[in-house]
Amino acid sequence: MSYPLQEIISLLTNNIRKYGSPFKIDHSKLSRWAYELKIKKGGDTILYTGLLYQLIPYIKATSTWLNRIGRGVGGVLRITSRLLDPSKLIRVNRADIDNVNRMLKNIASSILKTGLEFGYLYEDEMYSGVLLYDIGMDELFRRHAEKVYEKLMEYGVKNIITIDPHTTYIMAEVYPQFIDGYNIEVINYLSIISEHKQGNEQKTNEEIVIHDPCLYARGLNIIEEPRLILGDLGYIVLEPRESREATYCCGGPIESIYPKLSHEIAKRRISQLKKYSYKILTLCPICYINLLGASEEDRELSILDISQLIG
Amino acid sequence: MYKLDLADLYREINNVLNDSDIRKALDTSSYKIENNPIKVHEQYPYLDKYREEVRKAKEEVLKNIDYYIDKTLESIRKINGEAYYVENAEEANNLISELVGEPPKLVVKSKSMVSEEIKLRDFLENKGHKVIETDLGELLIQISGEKPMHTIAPAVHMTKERAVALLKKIGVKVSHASSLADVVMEVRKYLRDIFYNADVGISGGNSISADSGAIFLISNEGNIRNTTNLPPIHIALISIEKIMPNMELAYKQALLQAANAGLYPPTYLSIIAGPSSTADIEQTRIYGVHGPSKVTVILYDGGRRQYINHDYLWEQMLCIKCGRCQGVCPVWSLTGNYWGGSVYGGPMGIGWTAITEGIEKASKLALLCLNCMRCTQYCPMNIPLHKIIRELKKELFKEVSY
Repeated sequence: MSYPLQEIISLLTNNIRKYGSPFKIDHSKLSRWAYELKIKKGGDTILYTGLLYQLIPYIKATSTWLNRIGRGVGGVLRITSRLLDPSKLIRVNRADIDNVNRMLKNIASSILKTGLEFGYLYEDEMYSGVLLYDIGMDELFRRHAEKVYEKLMEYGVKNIITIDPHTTYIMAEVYPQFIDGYNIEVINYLSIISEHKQGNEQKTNEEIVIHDPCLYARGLNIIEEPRLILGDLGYIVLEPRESREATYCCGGPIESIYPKLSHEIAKRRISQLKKYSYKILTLCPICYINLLGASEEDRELSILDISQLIG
Repeated sequence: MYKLDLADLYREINNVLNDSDIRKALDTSSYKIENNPIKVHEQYPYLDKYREEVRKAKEEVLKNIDYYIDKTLESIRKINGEAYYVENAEEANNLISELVGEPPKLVVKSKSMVSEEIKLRDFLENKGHKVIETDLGELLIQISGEKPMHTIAPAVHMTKERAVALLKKIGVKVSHASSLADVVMEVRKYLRDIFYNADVGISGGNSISADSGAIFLISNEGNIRNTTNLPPIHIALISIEKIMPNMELAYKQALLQAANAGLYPPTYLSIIAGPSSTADIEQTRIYGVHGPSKVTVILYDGGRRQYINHDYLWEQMLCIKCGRCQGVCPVWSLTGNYWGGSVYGGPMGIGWTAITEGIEKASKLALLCLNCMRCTQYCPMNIPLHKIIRELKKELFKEVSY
């Protein structure tokens, strides 16, 4: 069968409209990582994950499924029935959830170490709506963004600390174009922690090749920050030819539009990076998941997100 | 909302993704398209200054397009050229057919994207003329019946083996054992007689200057010199956004296109200002000495003027069609112009498809864009290509009720 593009888009966007994120998930589960750290609820300044890291296990589970559709595997009937009930769609791996929770804890801990105080919205935190913006559904995006902003206003939030390039870009650069009077200061956590020593970790002296996210490098000029952090941890950062402003996409943004093409782009990016090192560093949950998916055939490769090295 | 029927597109792209020959060829060429211009700009730093000057001049021309069209036509006539402005493909084809004359004529062509837009070759062949593409890449495209894969290098996706197989079909004396140099030599021999016997030469134009009517043509193979010089009639088909205010800026635009295609210095830059002539005997001017006695320039609109004041598509017309954005695009590097309309593909090709074939067609193609901004980063004209593409995506969902 041909790829059911229209159905996939409807599914994801309907989920955002109905449940607040591209997947039908219980949002209270997505903030569990924060319990242990006893982060207070709300406040002027909050950590804002935009749920993107938390979506990793769901994206991973879905992309396996989308890839099968892309290859024409799976009966039309079964797929259609799953489309009607999106909760059946996803079988999430427990280990993936634990992994993500550790990433988030590390991120929060690394910010806490700087002495900066911040809160968190727990189950009230919302997805930024980035998918809607990326595929051009601007009216739906505007409505979603307004709801997010209302929630932030409800809690009296003035500053948000974002932790991934997509949420940062959307909330710093795009929301002001869509919401009248938008008045939230957005700062990316890499800028905060790069100004502080990461503590007394054993310096690793390991080589690692860096994969800059497109939006950090070309959209937000967050380029030196991760290098400072990695240098501080003792990593020898290798710069691929396609690095910094010339960085190359991981293919992630069209994962749901054209899985096969997205996967091929990720493989191409992997082949550029592994010329330098088999240890590849990502700075974004989307890059992480997409490069991870493309590295499966190559057991020597390890894909590490910066959130696994800090904290 | 437009129905998202992209099945044909996905099928074509899947075929490319599974074809190791095309993959290999696209891989090599996209590497070159990305990196060669970097070296060129390092070695010739003045080119950087041209970028801003050319962009500003193009903005000026677009803002006053009617004035510049009239001025250009007038300038061409002053130098004894014939000059026309045509609005659409039908007008262009009918006019060219009239200028070529009663069939059968032998017509040689140099590569021109605008002639692809109007499907000129098919039109003339259907009238009974014999039409030969003289750019090697374009000749291969003509034989294979495909669409050009890149603005400057239309056959980037073909391997030598494939090229040999195609050339054999038209009687070029090559075999699998031929070296690349042999292949090129045999193509030269094959085309030599055709050039001498051609009745008409048809070219495009990299630039045209409004103040003089001179056209600028860049070539590395030398085929453009033969096409525009040997036949008694030369017709140049040029789209209106190639108009530059004066000779200096027209020259800069042409050089900048070559540089950003990574071909610098270009082997040949021809400036053609009217028919060839002499007044060496008795001071009486006679037209048509070694070059054509008749030069006709056709300025082609093809949907452009209606978008000159458009919110976002206007900026696409600042494009010099160097193809840089294609080679740096992660999608194009895997798909070639299969991700595109019938003529233009890749990041710039999505905008150009909107202008030349309609917004609906382009907006479906736009969905495959990663929004990674690499095209914009590398565009020598600083066109926000990724933004144009996102605006086109929006068109898909404009009518959706929520």
